[in-house]
Amino acid sequence: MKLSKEINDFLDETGKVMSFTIRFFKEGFRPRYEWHEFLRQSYINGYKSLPLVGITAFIMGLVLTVQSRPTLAEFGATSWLPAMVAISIVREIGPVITALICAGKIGSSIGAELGSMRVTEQIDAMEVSGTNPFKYLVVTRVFSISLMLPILVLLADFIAIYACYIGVNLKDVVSWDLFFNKVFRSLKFSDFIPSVIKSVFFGFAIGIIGCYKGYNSQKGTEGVGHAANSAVVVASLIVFVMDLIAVQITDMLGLNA
Amino acid sequence: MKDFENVVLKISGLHKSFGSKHILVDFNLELLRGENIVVIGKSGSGKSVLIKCVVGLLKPDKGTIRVFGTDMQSLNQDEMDRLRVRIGFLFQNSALYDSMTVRENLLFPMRRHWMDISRDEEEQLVDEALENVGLSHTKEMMPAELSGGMRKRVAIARTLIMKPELVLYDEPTTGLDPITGREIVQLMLDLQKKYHISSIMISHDMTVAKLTANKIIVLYDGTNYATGTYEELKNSTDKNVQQFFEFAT
Repeated sequence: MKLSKEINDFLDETGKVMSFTIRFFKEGFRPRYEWHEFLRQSYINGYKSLPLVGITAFIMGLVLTVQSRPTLAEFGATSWLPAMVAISIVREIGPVITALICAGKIGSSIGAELGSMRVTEQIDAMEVSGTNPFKYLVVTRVFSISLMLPILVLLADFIAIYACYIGVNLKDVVSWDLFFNKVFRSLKFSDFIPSVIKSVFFGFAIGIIGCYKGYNSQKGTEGVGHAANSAVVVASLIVFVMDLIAVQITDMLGLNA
Repeated sequence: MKDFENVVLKISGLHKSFGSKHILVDFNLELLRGENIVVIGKSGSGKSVLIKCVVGLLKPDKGTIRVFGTDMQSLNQDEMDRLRVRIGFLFQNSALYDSMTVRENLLFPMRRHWMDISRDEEEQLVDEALENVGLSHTKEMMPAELSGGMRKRVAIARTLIMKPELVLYDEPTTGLDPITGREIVQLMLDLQKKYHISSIMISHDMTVAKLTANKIIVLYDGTNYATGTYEELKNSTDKNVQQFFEFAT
């Protein structure tokens, strides 16, 4: 009985998210376009997330290098370290870790901000002033995150690879030229393109879930907390599911070779 | 006594339910130009639901709402947005945009609808609106830095900056001390006179009703239970009407 109710609730919520997403596509490509708010959100979601993403990417690159080195050393393959770390970061770790950080930072902040605007009637105030709040609040945020996340991922990739260079030089002495030669010989455009494409989808999912949870927040301040919390949990889970699907697709297309 | 020219708002047979709970049942109202109607009722009686239906925030189950002669239900989103510019709405908790300064709060509706006015004119209108409510010095302040009374004044300025012909006030004095409440009511009356505004005010404060209303509607059991001037309702022998006057000063 309880299980069937939970399944019902899950399907009901999924249906609502789907109709919210359809509304996004309907409203998102129809004027009027809120360029000013889009740029403001891009600044907040992109530029202001850069320090956190950068620090995490640096640590990630360094730790991965230091941890992987002993295993490769056993096989006398330490010269493969830059290539191995670079491929891991570009293909998988960079997009997923950056998306998870953004799900935490941006997803929760959107959930809380829109949730608080909902319970204090600011969204209603926007509507009665003749402004479409969905366009102004949701469309701008989702577009900005979908655009900013791939850029953050690329920056995170380069920072992590630079950290790898430092990591390699902790034990060995490798010149900058040699390191980057090894890294870029191992990487192909077909490594970057799927990574960028899936980052757009990760960003879209984080934006839609954060906006959906906040925009439909209820029950006063408790609802705001719940919106922020569930925005992070659901968005993070969706990032993993999407990543699983993306890996299957790139594998089928032979891009993981 | 009043020169009421035509009907600004006409509500006929309005029904609104949430689940099995009937909030409004066959509610009727007619507001004339320049008139101020106060709707009184107990908490949860559907007063706020009524004005949210008028402005299109809630969709009625049955009945018609004609604003300036236009049936609200027949409008698409763009038409509704254009009509809403002529309607002001003052929220109970002010609903100022937290992430914007007072100046940006006032500019927000203007920049969306009056695209042909210059930046200088915009600033002039903001200055005038803030001067009207006596808060010129708060222009660059954030809403969080303002007191409850100041927030309400800024909300009034934001509501009136678009020069609406009809204003809906949702419990404008709730949460304010009696002195500030009285000041806000006086301010609303002055601005209404200055800009020739018609209004509907939701309240359960009979003092406010006495000061502002041309007509009072008692909302009881979801319907307009009694209608009349303050004096007429005060002299009513109906106990459901009299209960609102028991604590009035």
